[in-house]
Amino acid sequence: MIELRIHGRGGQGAVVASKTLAQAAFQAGRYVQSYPDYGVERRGAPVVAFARIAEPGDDLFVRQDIREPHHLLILDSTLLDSANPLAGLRNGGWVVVNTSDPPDSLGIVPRFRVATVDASEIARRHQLGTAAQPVVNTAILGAFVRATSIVSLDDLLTAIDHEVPVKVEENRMAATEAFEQTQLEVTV
Amino acid sequence: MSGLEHVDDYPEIPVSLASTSTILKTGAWRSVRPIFANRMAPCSAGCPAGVRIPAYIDDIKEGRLEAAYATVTARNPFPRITGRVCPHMCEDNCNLAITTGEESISIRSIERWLGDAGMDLPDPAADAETGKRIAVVGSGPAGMAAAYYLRRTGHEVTVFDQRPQPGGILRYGIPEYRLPSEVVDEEIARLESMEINFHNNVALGRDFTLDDLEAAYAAVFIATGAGQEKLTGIDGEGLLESGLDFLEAANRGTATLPGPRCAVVGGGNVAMDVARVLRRLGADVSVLYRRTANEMPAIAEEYEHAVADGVHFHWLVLPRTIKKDGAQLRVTVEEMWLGEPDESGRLRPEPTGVTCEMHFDGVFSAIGETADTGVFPPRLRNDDGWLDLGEDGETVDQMVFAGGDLATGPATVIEAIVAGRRAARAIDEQLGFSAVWPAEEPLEVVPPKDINLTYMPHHDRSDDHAAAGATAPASFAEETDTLSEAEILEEIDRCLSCGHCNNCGTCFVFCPDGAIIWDDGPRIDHEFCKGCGICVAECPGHVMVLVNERDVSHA
Amino acid sequence: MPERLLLTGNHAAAYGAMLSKAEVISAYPITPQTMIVELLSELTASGRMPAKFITVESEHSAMAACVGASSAGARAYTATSGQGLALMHEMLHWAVGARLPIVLTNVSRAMAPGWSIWCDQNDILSQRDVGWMMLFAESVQEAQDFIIWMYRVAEQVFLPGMVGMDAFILSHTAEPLIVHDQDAVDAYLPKFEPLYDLDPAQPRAYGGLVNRDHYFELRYKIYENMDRAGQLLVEAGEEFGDVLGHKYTPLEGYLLDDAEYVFVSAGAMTSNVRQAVRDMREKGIKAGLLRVIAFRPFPIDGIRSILAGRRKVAVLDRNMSAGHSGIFAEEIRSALLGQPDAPPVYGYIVGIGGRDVRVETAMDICDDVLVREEPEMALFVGVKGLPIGPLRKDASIRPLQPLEVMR
Repeated sequence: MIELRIHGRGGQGAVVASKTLAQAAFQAGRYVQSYPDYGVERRGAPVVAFARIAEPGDDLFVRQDIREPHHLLILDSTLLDSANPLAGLRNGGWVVVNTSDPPDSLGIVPRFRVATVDASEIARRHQLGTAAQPVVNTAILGAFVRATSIVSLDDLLTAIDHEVPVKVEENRMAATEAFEQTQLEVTV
Repeated sequence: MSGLEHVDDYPEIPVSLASTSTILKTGAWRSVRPIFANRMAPCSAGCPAGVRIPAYIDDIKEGRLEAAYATVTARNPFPRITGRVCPHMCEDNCNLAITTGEESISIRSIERWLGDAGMDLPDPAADAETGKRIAVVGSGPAGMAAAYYLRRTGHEVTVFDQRPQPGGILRYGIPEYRLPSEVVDEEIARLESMEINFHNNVALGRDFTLDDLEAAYAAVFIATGAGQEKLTGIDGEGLLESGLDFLEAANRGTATLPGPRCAVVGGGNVAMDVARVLRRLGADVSVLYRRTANEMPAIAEEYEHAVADGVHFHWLVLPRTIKKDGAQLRVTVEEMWLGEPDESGRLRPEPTGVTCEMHFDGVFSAIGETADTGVFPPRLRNDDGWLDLGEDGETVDQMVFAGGDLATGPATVIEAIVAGRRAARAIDEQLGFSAVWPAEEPLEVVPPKDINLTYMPHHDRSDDHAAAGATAPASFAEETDTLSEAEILEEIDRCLSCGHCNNCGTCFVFCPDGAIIWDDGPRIDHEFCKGCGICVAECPGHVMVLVNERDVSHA
Repeated sequence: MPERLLLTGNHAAAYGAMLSKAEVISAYPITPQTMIVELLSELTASGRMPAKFITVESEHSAMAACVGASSAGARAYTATSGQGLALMHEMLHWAVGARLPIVLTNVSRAMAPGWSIWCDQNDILSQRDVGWMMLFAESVQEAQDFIIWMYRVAEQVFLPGMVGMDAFILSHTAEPLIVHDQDAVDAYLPKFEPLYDLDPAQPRAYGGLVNRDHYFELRYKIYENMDRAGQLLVEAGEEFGDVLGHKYTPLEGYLLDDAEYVFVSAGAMTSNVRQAVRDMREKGIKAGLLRVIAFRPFPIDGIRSILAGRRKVAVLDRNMSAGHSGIFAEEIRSALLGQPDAPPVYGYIVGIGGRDVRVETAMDICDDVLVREEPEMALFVGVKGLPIGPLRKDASIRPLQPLEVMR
């Protein structure tokens, strides 16, 4: 069972990212769960969402908070300083960050793997959200797929068709571009 | 649920077994019951004619104009006239005004609108012909009303009048700008269309006697009015002109100004009319009154109009002498002060001994009018010379009745109409007939405390507007316009309908037991009414009252 | 054809109402239930669901509207949560006395104050004695299916039923859901035939005054039908499997056969207890899980036969009846009282106000129950600063510091 945690800010699309990723895995025939951290949601405030994806052989699913995720998606790099998003992350886990900086510039300890992509810029280019508040969720998912290969890009694009309410084509293009532009760094 | 001896005998739920709910006649729980009471609105109580005002207002609101007109004409045949000239005592005790401090409902304007609309409506058909001939002497409001009701009850009616046209004070006394002669003409035409006969230019005591009438008619109603100005007692009385005569001349179009500066002595309605007509003819007018505005008998509205017309008022002055000085009149007036109240309750003017002199081109007397009773046989008169009358105008002659200003001295048009109606009823009954006359018994008036204002909308009052072009001092055109239908409907919306059910539905909405049944209007199903009284508490006009169950007849 | 979708528990409940062809829905929004009626209002407004949606100003009125609709012969549904269910309370009684098979979903939420939108089951369990059937869902699938199952039984015994779903843990979690084929559901759940027709031509008084000569018999029949419902739930659950592909039962066991230690749980946290039981087995502990699905009617016979002869029973209650114990523990103790081979029942109170009940929590309880000698009425798990154990003996009321300063 793979457990994921997504950190973002209200308005960036973290909850939809969780649902879309779960949908992608679900289409691929895997059992999934997706849920938000049930708090008061408002634009700009830190938001957390979670997903569980079954691995072959899993027959029981739990229903409890994810405290030790396998991987992280971070939709706003400023959260690295303020929200302690790395807490509980398992060794060797991927930290996929929305930033224009390269992976090795983030100062993340070497027991984790880091992938970066300028999802904000990609989202802006495809007019997702506003210039000030781009909706980066589909772009960061493209990077996540590139880094982890937990689901295929095709599955992700089909999930976008299913879960994203508007600008489906732009979101597909954003995910694909991010997939291609992701910078990976293995720091083990 | 009797006969249920085993659990298997029971239904699954508490449901009545019979398809009628005989086990749940909750009406049996009741110790008091609501009823729709026949109560009087304060406006109706204030109206000398007792016109059921909320009833006709409701009819207008619901578009039942014919019914509205019939409701009014059952007690006052001439809403078109009173809607213009009545001092509207009905508006004095309006529960809306008392409970909210807003202005009362503009009842007279509504009545006027209805009267105008009524010209297109049929009058109720006369009852079957009785074959009785009745004479009415005098065609002012009292005579017109008596003629109207006597004709409606099937009698043949002939109206005699000494002037060239019928209408009396309505035509020859009240100025044109307050009551246009077309209105009077059309009301007379209405009476003529009812086959009432009018004989003009014939005068009692000159062309015929009372004995002549008694010989030829089954009954006689005399309403010749109060057509003489009282003597003022001023030294130089002969130099005064009669206010009434002046008004008659004005209405005939023959009035002339004695000169540019005129005075009117008196403070009643005739004085106001004379002053305002003089203004319209171009005079500078002063009213000389021995008391103050507070004690004036003129209705306040007429006083206000006179002030607006530019009439000057001199308070606390009593003319003592009038002397001719060339073309002018020199009037010596004594200043007065107010002492203790007199028998009328007004403060009595007392002389101060201080005099001054005023100069006018003409002086008009309007201190009050009186009747010429000299034409009647002595047996009908009392020691003071007035006619000796019973409550309904009956005299010592069984078939002779009298009423109106002749009997009371100068009063209002509506009071004259009531006198005519009461006499008509007395005559009808005296002759052995029993037409259906509206009830006269006193009803309990709905007091302000019983009114529920919660559901009432709030609008400002609408009064008759000043007519365009009629406000100029020289114009005799009617000075106000009848309100529009839309304005009337909005005004009607303010009416609380005290004591009269106008099918507002509040009881139906509030009854928690569904015991108000709605057919054409509300009806109480006393089988299920538990007597909670919510309907009574919520009824906006307090039409509903609770009565003790013990006091309700089960007959 | 059935469809597989990724949906939240709330949306699954809305699908359950739609598949059941509820004809009247009346509801008032309340977190965390709102998504249910939000979706139902969309489904009715779009015409996809041919039902009347009645908006009201309170949960009390929502149930009153359902009472009216059901009396008139319509299949009626509502959803609520926490304070909303409490406000409905009077009308819940009415639905029972009027024998109306209304179904509602309650998304369990802790009661205020303090204000909480998180899960515990005190809201639904406070309605224990009203006379509604009660089922506790563990998964998104069950949040949908139990509505259909409940209608099936409710309309046979003419008693209402509620489906409990835990706040957020199910209501807001998306999981794969099989949305059944409508024809199959129609075959399983026939059209509602009301007990009494409301016929304006034949007016009758419903729910009127019943004097003391008659009330008892009417209530006896309610008890009798609630009892019947126990067997009907079994039969209808079996048939659900035949027609719709998954068999449901009032009780569900896991690794029970040779279990010496049985852990009892209800609702969504059961998934974690199940995982813990597997972990215990791996550690060599003969553990098993008994999940209570039907709380009313309470499956007394099944509980007696399953638990007889076990060494210890640990009941996890996400609720508490202050002054007694956890409510499930209390019910199980009373079912076992006087039975031969009745095991001792250890009551554990967990997860109040949404506190996370984890696999580790169940493991901690396992450690405790293995060594604890005396069964306790109520053992509190996870109260800050306290080990698992019964109430302290020496507690005192501590006023707020500022009050002392003021004094």
